Amino acid sequence: MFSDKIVITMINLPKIKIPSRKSAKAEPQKQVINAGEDVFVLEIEKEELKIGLYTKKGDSIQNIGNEVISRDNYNFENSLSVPETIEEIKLKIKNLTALYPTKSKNLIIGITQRNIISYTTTVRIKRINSENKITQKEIDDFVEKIIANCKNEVLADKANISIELLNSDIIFTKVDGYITKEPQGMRGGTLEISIFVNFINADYLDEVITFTNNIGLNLITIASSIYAFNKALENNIDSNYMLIDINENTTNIGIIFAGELFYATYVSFGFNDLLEFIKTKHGLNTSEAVNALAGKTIDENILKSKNNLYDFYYELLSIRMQNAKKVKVLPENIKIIGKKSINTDKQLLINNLSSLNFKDEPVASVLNTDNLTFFDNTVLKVPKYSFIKNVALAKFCLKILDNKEN
Amino acid sequence: MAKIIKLNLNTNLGKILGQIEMTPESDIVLEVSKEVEDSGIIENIKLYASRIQKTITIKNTDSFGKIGFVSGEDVSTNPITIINVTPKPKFKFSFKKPNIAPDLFSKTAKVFTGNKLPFLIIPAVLSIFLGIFLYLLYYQFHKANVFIKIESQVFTASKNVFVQAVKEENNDLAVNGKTVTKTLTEKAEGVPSGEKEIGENATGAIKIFNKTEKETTIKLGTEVTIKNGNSDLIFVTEKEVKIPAKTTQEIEDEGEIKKADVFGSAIINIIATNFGETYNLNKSSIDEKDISVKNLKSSEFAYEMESNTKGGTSKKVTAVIQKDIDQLVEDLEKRLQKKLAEALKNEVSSTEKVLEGGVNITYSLPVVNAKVGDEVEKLEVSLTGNADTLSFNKQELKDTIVATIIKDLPSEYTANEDNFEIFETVKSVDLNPTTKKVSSLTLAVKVENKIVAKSNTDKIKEDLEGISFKEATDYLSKIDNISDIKIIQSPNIPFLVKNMPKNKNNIKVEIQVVK
Repeated sequence: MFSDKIVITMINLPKIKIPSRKSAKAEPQKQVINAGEDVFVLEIEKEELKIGLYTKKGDSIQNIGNEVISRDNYNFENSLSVPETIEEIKLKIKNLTALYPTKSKNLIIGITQRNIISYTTTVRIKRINSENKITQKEIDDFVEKIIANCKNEVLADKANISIELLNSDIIFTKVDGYITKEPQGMRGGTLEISIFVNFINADYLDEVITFTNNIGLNLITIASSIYAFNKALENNIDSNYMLIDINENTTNIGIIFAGELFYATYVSFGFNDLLEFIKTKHGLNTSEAVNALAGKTIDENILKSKNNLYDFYYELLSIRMQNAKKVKVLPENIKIIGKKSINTDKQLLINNLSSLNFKDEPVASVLNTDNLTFFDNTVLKVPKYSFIKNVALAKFCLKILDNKEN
Repeated sequence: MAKIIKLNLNTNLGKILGQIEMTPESDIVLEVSKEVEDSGIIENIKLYASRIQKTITIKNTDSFGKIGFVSGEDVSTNPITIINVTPKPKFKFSFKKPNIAPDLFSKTAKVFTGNKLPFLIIPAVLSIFLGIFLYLLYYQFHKANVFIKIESQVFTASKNVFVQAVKEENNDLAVNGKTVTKTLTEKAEGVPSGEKEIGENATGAIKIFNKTEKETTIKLGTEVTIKNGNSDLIFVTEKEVKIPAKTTQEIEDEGEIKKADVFGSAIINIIATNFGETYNLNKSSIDEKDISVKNLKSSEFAYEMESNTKGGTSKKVTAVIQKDIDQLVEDLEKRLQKKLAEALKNEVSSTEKVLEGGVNITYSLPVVNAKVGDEVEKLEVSLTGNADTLSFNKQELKDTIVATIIKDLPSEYTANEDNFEIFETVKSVDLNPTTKKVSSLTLAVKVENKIVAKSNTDKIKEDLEGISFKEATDYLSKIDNISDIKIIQSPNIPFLVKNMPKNKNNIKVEIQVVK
């Protein structure tokens, strides 16, 4: 299933200490981790910001307020230091807390794959003493070295930037060829570790931290929306699937094996691009173009344009998926999420992706908040499709807070 | 000829693909900045173009792409003047002989001689005058006013500027900072939310019998334990008491004189070690074996309740808890933060500026009218905040950053130096390690200005000479960011051909910049 990168000499690498980043301070503020049960979620996309306030109710989470800020031909991702944006967000937060006066300042920020550098590597290590049991410390040391090596490899490709580690997961480990999720206590001569890491541009990270200080909240973590979505899904241990997140200007793609994100990337193309193309080419207005994309037109030329464009869009997705070099066979279960996922012609998507190497006949399904078993929408309903990642980010954040408390 | 398409990071990709598909040209030039090139959308565009058999050439405009310049705006490397339109050949009005064959001319001349000559001279003279009139009309009187509206573009740039108490000499981006301080004290009141129990301790007395031959002293504060049901209630003695030793006395018993032991005894007052009704005991319910005194052996001493223990009471009262104090302190800190920031702003003149994000506040220990556990009706806390920051001269900041930014402006553009808008955000605050006061501020400063491409009106006039209005309009519409064109001809004679004056000096060009 995976192509291996064999590095026998990893064990001889010097111990590299990953430096911690001082957060940029906009104003003096106490950093208090408040392990409360309420959490703010801020999802940043190019033309839209989604803010949600969630509370924990037993094993479920509920939404107790949500706001959206949209602006055409604007880039929120690059506008976090603009005073008007900050004021607008502060006002939205004030609106949320007016109805539900929470004392919590916990915040998780979700960003698109565009601002993340994801990297997967598999390393095989020859252990000096094969008869000794593998300890947690041994694994932690190896992981630290592997991550430092990943960072160097990423920086070798991208000159003149500095990056920080955002999160990392062990996808799987093998001891003498035997796959296991828990190698501690096992004995063996070779240990293979496969790791997925997310890095973020350090300047952008500084900007996000300054931004959260400016809006007066405590940043718990930053995560890519698809990473957090996968983490939030329950009962997905040992499940393999592809995640396609369709938004207005970006399509994020993730490949998940055994419940862990293995590969993540994005395409700078989304539903708005399809819309604008049809409008420009055929001189339609927005609602006519939406109908055309849904196939609700009898004009043969428009239908032909639509099909050609979707062909192109899915070709872009397919090229990105092929770039996952370490993946020889793709999981056939395709889950589609995002604000514009409802407009997906699933059969057309499958037809276009069928040239890729799937394990079995691919099957696509569109998800919304109804599919999230941990979400209780009886208190306040949210837009089902566009807020699905927002809800997942809340779940992810609450999981982190629970772990910190314990 | 290639089609030029300009794009920036905010351009919709689908729109660009639509434009590429719609354009008849098969060669397309994309004018982009490095930012756009690095964003990954170019590959998508090239892929699409290859599907429809068109070729894409990328023109990197990064010679203008210095830090902060808004990428993707009209930044052609060619001078921003007008794209040449080959004007029509100028019509030279001259009295050239008509191209008639000589014999025909001579025959014509004959026609003009003789009696018919006067009638033919008039039209000829009229023609001459008409020609002169037309000459004057086209060359002298024919004028045109060309009004052009050009939209300015937003130029933005960001730089870090350092406000320093001691300005660095060789730092072009450092400005003088003046220390501003303010101290304020605020008070807050609250009602305690805690609860505690208080009461009176029960008192009473016991009698101790000394069975030994030695006098025993019970010290003040000795523990007396009285068992009541399942509880051991602890009392202590209220003063030091000596208990005499036993004595032997002779007594008469049935006619005989016998010797008997008489135990020494003393009454000791006791007080409960805790308040509450539990310690109120009825002596009739307490046995000798229920009472014990610390360090006294039960074989050598005996006890009994001399009186009931009474007076023990308890009740719940409101008391101060730590959370009450912490809440008031937190409220005071928030209030002080706001007030100190405002006060600091009022400390400086209108030419100076203080930024709230650059204020450093230290708080004194709060002064509280009660401590934890105290029973008070009202809790009062006062807190003093000492704030300091660096103010800066607004003009100095503006001049400093504009001087740097101006160097990044492309030479083909002009900016209105009075119209720079400045936005400052505090990025970091540095404190002097000794004085703990603000020694420098790092500001992220963003500037905006509306810039306009420089226009060469003389060249425009030269190129417009003698061409038709339609050609003139097409020519002018190629000026970058043009939003409106108006050509007003004078004299406004209905039959006059809609052409531009032959004489460029009769063309007036007015350019208005639209914001």
